Amino acid sequence: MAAAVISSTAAAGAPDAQGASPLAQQGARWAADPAVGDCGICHHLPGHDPRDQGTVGPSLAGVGLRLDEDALRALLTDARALRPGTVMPAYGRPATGPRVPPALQGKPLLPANVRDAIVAWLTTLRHG
Amino acid sequence: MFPSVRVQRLPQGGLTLALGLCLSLCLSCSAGAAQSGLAYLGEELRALQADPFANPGLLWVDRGTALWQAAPAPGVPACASCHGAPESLRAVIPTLPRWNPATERLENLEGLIRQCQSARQHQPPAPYESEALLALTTRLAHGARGLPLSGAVAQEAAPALARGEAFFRERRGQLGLSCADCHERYAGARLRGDRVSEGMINGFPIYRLTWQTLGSRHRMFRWCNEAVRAEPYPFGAEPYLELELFLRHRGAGLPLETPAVRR
Repeated sequence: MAAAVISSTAAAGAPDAQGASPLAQQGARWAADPAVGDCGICHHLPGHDPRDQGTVGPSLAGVGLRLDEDALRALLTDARALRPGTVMPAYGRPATGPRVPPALQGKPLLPANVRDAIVAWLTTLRHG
Repeated sequence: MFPSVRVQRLPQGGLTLALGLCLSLCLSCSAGAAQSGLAYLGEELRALQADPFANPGLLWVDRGTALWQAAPAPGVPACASCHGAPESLRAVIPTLPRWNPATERLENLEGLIRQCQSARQHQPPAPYESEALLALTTRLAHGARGLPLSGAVAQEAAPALARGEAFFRERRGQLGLSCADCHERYAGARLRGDRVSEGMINGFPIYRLTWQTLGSRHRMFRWCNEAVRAEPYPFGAEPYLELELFLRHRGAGLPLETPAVRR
């Protein structure tokens, strides 16, 4: 019950995104959507029940304080270029690895407009 | 399982320190030892697996018993006609997949059954994930429940074992993730709300809630490949047999749990 209340709050714009731009609010929805960004599979997204979210990556609470917009964009685009060894996929680089299905070859995991919206949302997460 | 603990004469207060050290040693040891996926389940699913009336996989055990005893066609031997009880093969199960020197290939349980269906029963071999093959593999593996997975690998299979490990560690698909990224490095962490297991294969075929049915090891490999948006291999393909060999070796000592229940 508590989780449902928290989720509906998040769907309308996470607490951190209150007063955020429409782009950032769209980014919050895409980040949480399992069919789009699915960030919650590995990270805790502020405004969501942590029990339903991943612990593989760090919590995104306060990430807008720790990293500026350029750094957030660079991380989302190609985390492995910045942090060798990380398991975080490169969301903005064309997929070239082994066994990429033909239909996905050369395509990034997320298109530029989705990445821009998610970055806009990440910059609003300023409460650690 | 645990390191042997040496008791030494210690200064006052040293005993507490020594006990603390032993405890941390034991904990780090058990964290390093292979753990069944069972250890990563919640209490409810562990109870479901252990319940001899409620474990849904046991339906396939019953179906397997019936199939084992029935001749597939008139004048054709049933499995039981040659092998007797399914338990007569229990010692073989933990050694699969294994190297077949005659064919110079790896063979797994599905492959052995299909081979018998074709050569001895003169029937078309049951396809992977067919009810018949799932029932027979589940029945045979169930008969070996409790036996430890073998870590032994024939010398001729050493290159296959190495390729299986390379497969485990190679990043693939649009997400660029390897088996090891999740099941070694992040085993125990949570993906969404679920704890990541070590990817052990001692419970297969498993009844998987996600599937609402039973599935083979190769179905799980295909599912994982697709989850990282990688093109899966066909059932029974060489890379999957090699991965299966590596995972048996990696999980040596884990007791067989078929039919395990997983999320």
